[in-house]
Amino acid sequence: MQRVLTSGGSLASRLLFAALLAMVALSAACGGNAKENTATTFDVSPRGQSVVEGNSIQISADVNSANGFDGLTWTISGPGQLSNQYQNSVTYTAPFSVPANTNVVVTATTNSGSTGYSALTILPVGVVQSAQQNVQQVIVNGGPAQNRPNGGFTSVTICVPGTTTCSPIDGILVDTGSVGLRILASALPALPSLTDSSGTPISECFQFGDDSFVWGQVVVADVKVAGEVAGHISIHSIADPTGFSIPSACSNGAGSDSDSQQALGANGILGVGLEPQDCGLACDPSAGGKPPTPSYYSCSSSCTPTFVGLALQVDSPVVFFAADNNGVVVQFPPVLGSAPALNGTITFGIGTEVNNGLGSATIFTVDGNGNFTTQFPLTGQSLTSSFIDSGSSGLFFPGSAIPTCSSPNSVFFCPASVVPLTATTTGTNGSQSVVDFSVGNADDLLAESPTDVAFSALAGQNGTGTCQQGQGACSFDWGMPFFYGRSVFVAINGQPVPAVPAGVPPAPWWAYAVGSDAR
Amino acid sequence: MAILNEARTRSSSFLFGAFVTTVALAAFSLPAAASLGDGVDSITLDQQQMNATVQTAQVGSYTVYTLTSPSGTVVREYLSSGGVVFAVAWQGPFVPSMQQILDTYFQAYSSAANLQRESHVGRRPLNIQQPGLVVQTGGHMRDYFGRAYVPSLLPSGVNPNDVR
Repeated sequence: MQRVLTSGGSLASRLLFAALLAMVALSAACGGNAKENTATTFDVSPRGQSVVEGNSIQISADVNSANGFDGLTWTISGPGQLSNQYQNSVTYTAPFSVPANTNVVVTATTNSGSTGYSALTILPVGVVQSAQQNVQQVIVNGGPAQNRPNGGFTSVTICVPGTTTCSPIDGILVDTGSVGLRILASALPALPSLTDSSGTPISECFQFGDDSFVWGQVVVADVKVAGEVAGHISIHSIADPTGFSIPSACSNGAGSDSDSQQALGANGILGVGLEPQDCGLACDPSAGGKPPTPSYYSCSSSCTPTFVGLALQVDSPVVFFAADNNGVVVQFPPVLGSAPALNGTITFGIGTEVNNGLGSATIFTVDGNGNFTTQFPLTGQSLTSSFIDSGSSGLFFPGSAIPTCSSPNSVFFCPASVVPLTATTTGTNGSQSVVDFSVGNADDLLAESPTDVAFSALAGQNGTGTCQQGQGACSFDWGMPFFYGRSVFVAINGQPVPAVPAGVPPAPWWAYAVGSDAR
Repeated sequence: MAILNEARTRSSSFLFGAFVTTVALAAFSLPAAASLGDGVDSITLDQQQMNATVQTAQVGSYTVYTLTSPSGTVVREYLSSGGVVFAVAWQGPFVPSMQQILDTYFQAYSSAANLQRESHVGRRPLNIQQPGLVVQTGGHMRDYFGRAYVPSLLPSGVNPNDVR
C-alpha cells in the first residue's frame, strides 16, 4: 500500500551530487535475481530512524531547487501519512497504534527518476520490552550450531534497502573485538552489491587473531537492531562468491576459512568495537599508494585489492543510528562456575538515554591500537596490548605458570584445581581497577558443553615469554568471562559522549562497572 | 634488546643495497616467498612481496631484519650467523601470509592450526607448541601479532623469549 504526495512544477533537468552525498551515494549493481534498479542518487535525512506510534518526524531530501524539489514525489511503503510537503521536506506521521515494531520506508523521487529514502521503524508503546528502543537481548546459549561456548547471540533485522522486505536473523555473535556486521550469505535475502566507480562488485577478506578469515561480497542493506535503524549501510555477506577464488593473501591454510555456521559457530557477527570502520583510513582512497591487503577487493575477471571510502566500508552499524550512536553497553549477570544459559543485553548509546548512563563505571582510555595495560602479578608483567573482547571465548593471558591442556585443547589451561587470580587494568589515562578471576580446568569445563554454555573460568595461554617495551607476549585478552557480572561500555572513536559526569575523556575508551550499573 | 643500526653501516654485503630500496611489485604476481628455515635471500623475497622498508640490527650472534609494510604491518626475521632464518615475529593491522613466511613449515602449521580451530569453536589465540615448530598468534582487529620459530634452529644461547 502506497501513499503518494507530489507537487506540481517544472521537470528536473539534471542531477547534482553534493560533495557530502557523493561520499555516501551508493551505486548498486544488483545480483542475479535483482528486482529493480535501486540506484540511490541522493541522501535523505534521517537515513534511518525509529518513530514512536502516533508521532511525527520531518524528512528531508538532499536536493535543491535547481535540481528538482519542484518535481519531488514522496511515497510511503507501509502504514502512516505524509503531509506538509514544502520544498525538499515532508512530514511523516506514524499510525496511532502498531502491534509490534513495524517497517516503513519513505521514498523521494525526482522527475528524472533519482531516488533517496528514509528507513523507519515504528515502535509500539505500552509493552515494556518493545518500548525500549535501544535495548536488545543477548543470550549465551551455545549458538545456532550448539558449538560456541561463552558466546553472546542476538538478532538483527536485514531489509532489502529502500523496501519493507525485511528478515530477522538470529544467532548473531555480539563482538566488541571487531567492527562491522557480517552474516552468512545463506541467511541473507538478495541484497545489492557495493560496487566501485566502474560498477565492479566489492568483496572483502576479514581476518581473525587465530589466522582464520571470512570472505565474501560487500552488500548494502537497511539494518535494524532493537528500535535502532542503520539506513543503507555496507555489510559483509560471508561465503566465497561464485567464480572467484579466495586471494592467496587472505587464506592462511585449508582450515582457516570460517565461512560456515559450523566454523563460525554463528550465523553472523555484529562487530561493535572501538572504531567506526573495520579498516579505516588505511583502506580509504586518501591513503594513496597501493591498497592494503588482505582487505577490500574489486572482483571482475579476478580480484584485485582496492580502496573503499570510510562511509562505504563494512562499518559499525551503531554510528549510522539516528541517535544512540556513540557506543554500546554490554551487560550480563554473574556466573558462578558454569551455567546452561545466560540472558544479557546490549544497549545502544552511552549517556544518551535514561538507561545507558555511565553511573559508577571507571573509564579506561586506550592507545592507538585500541589497547590498555594489564598489570599481572602472577607473571610480574605489564601487558601493554590488553583489550576487552566479547568475541573471545575465554580469558587469555601469557605465561606458563599454569599447565596447559593436551592437544587439541592445548591453548587452554588445565590446572588440577581452580586457580584464583587477580590483575589490575590500567588505562592510558591512569585509571586503575582490580579484577579478580579464576582459571578452571578447560578439559573438564568443555566436556560439559553444550549442556552448559557459559563458563566463568575458561582461560588459556596467549603466548609465552615476557613483554618488553611493547614487544613479546604483551596481551591480556579479556574475553567473554569478563562480561559476566559486569556492564561494559564501548565508546566509539570520533563519536561524542555527553559531558555528564564531568571529566569524560574523548572516545575511544572502555569503561566497566560491576553489576548492571548502567542507568 | 635489539639495537637498531642504519642499514648503510652494513656495507659489506651487496644485498643491503637492495634492502634500502623499496621495490614496488604486484604482491600477488610472485610465487610464494620463503622465510622460516631458509636463507637470507628469502628475506629479500619477503621484503619485495610486502613492498617493505628494511632495518637491520645485530643482536649478539644473530641479525634481526625488521620489514615494515606500507599498511603498517611489521615483520621481524631472525637470521643466524650461519645464514638461516630461525624465527619470525609480526605485529600490525593485517596478518601476514603464513604460507609466505613459514615456507616448508607451513604444512605442519596448517595441520596443527586446523586441529586447534576445529575443537570447540570460539575466537582465541593460536598456540602451537610442537618439538619441531612453535607458532603463537593473537590480537584483535587492527592489531594482530604472532611469532614462529623452530626450536632446533635456535642458535646456542638464544632464548625463545628473545623472539618478539
